[in-house]
Amino acid sequence: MSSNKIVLTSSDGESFEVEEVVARKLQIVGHMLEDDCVINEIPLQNVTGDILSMVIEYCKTHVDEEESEEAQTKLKTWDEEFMKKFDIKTLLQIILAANYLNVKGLLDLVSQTIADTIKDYTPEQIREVFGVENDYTEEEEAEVRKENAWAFDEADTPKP
Amino acid sequence: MNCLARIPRLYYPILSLVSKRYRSLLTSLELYDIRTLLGRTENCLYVSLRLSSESKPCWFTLCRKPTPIPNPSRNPNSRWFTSCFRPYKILKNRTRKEENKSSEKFMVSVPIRNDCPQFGLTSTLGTTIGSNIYMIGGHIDGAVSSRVFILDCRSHTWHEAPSMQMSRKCPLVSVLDGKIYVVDRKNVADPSNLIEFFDPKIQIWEHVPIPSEELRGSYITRSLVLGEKLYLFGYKSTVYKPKEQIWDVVGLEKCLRWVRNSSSCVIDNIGGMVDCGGKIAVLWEKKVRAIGSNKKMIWCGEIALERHNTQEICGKIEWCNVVLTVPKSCSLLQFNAVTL
Repeated sequence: MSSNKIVLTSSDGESFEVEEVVARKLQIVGHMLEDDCVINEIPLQNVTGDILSMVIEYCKTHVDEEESEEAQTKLKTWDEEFMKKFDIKTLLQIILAANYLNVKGLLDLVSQTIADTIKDYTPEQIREVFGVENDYTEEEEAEVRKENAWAFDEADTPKP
Repeated sequence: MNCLARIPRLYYPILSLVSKRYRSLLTSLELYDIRTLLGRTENCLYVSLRLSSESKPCWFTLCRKPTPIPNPSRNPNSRWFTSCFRPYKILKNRTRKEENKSSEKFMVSVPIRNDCPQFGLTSTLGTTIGSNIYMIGGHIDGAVSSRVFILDCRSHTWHEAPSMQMSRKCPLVSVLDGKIYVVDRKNVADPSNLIEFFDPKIQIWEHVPIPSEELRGSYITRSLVLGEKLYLFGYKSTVYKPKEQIWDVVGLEKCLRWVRNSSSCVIDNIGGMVDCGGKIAVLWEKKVRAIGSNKKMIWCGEIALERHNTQEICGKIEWCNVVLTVPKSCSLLQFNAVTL
């Protein structure tokens, strides 16, 4: 059964032939297969080919979740290296895909990577990356900054 | 949301500047539920200060320095620090080493959405359960109170909890098995009110059976929780076992040893020490030794404990720096570690 191949097609028409066990890592596919729809080709509307290929790469690597510590460490290192390849914009696309395709491990991994990345961002950078509109008025922003004043100015460093 | 919940809370004050939506997300209970679900809760330090005798207490929490890029103008100042406060040189050097990894931490004021009516408090001691800081008794408008207020550190709002069965000026407060035990320092004529406890799960204050007369002393100076038991030290030293609901006497030798070993939750009356997820967080203040300076600095540090063998426990300073500079008139009211 594991040798059964399934074709996943992205929104931009790119097709990937993967083993069923790999495809089942995408829970959305797993559910479709469980619903007894015997299908060999699954169209995935909300994900583009380049992103889907990353997701598949992740699923292939994580296909047999071995319990041994050694295997776990190896996977962890692989995860870290894998995440290093992407910039924040790509990570955001992957997280959306992981959410849509329902790949829990990848969702956790990317969430953590994004969290680690954006925590050092300035508010301006976060707005830019996430396309968040700054809805504070100048006065309001100044007010919030004032609340945080102890952290933002150097008032904590006494002058000799 | 999923990403925000994974970010250490130290970063939240800065993130709240992104937009109003971010700000409200960061104080939403939903976010803290996700943190709990993901096992991402942290121990966060809260400090309450009164800037002058007239002003209301302000609350502060730790925040990481916003920009990771080192500010060149900061270094000379830091060096000045080091040379001026020699006793802390070792500490400073240690932190310097670690600094690349985790840069300095500072206290930022906590925007609390509503006023706590208890702001006249002088002697109330706060205690923490989970994400809540409980302020119990003390003075409200000059009168001794039985009211209890809770600062929810997730949303930064004050709530009122059920009042105690009687008003207490300056009770000893301990947490045992998720319940708050409140003990009067003085043993008044009617001992039935000496001690009561609050179970946050059922939101009820209940009396604790009173110790027999020979176990009651005229005063109690300290309370301490150790191994599921509540110890009271004072004129007489007693221990209460809540499971069996019995009181017992504590041997003199044992009690002296424990008081000595486990004492100093307050150092020199100016600082505080709290259990911060198995680490010890220490807070103390130090005058700025410059002519004409009317400021003082508040230092904070965290010490991780490692047990080497049954005899030896070793402390490692994880970080330590000045977290806040305040006017000299400022007094330290509270120091708590909250799980968020």
